[in-house]
Amino acid sequence: MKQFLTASIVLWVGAILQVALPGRMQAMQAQPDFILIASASLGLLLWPTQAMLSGFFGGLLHGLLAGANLTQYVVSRMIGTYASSRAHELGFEMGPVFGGIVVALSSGVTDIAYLFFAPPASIPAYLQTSLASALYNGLLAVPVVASLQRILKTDDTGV
Amino acid sequence: MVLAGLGFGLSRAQSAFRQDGQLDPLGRVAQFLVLPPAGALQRGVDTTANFWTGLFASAGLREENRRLRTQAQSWALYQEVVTALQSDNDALRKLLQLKETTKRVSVSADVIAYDPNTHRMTLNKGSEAKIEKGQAVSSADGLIGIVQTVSPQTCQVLLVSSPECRLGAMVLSKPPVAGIVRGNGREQMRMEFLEDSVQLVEGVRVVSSIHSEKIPPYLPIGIVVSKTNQPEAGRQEVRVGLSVRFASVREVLVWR
Repeated sequence: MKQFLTASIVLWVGAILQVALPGRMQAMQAQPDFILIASASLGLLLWPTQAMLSGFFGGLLHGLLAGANLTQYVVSRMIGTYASSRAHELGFEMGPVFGGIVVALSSGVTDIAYLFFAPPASIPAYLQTSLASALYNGLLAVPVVASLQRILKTDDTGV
Repeated sequence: MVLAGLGFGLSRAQSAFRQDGQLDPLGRVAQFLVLPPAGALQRGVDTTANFWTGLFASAGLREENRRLRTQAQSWALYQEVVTALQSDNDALRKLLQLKETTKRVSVSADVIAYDPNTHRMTLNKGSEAKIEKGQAVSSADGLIGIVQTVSPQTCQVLLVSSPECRLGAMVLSKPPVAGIVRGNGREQMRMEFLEDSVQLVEGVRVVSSIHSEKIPPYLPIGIVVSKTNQPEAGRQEVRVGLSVRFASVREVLVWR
């Protein structure tokens, strides 16, 4: 119940930040994706099935707010958060910095998955923007992961 | 697989509503839960930014304000002339039994969400303000996009940078040349001409066409940045750099 409530609130706050802030935080073609940061951070600290659920609802929320094709958002984010949930198998200590790196990688995986559903006009430019956005997301995810670890009281293995 | 299938089903439902120019019910619920607090956060951020800007840039702002007031007064002097010319134009068109130029009314709206991935913006006005699907949206810098879905209090705009967006446009060369522009997913559009003999110069302005029912004519779209001749296909293509920076747009006009 605590996990469900925490995930709901984190995704809701991520959606509010996603609507309000990205245009004001653009840096060199990169913009943060707060819903993805929220769902990937949750995915890092939950079981794979729970992580995919958080990816599903994160993608659903983002697609509904953007008026975009829901399938693309839902499936790409489920893939990204699933990848994030398997990070603890790497054996590293699950600290906030490692969490930020995982969220950055998860963000990259999500964008590559999205690429297959909605090929952009220029793939090199898309990949360049995705890389910058992934780094941005990873940086912003560090305090999010730290906070979620305290709230969900996870141990070093991440679950 | 179940979740992916559910997402696919919801996507089909969303598309069906969008075909009718409406927002789907789930989308309305999401907007209801997210937009009010996001709007409050945006206002707070803007207020804070304006406070610091006023603190450090007040002298420059005062000077700019004085200069803009002087410009506005100069333009007001020409407004009477423009109104008289427009009136003469309408009278002559009536005499020649040509269709009258539509007198358009605009509704101002605030941008409450912007998604660069899907090339969409959400505005804080909807059907209650008599906004309909297909109406043009512009900012002070030029054409932004076309209204795609409308709910009672919000609407979503498909930006001109979207690959789904195709519009009639004119290059203001001598003589003006009409063509179709389409977004290419970045802050540029592509414009195709079926004649490869058209002489176009880089830096020339591109504006909205005079032939559209819903889009006001001569709205700035951008400038020609490069061109490509395809003589074997009998056409040429130009790249148009957009005049609008979508991330910095806060207020827009919706043309009814």
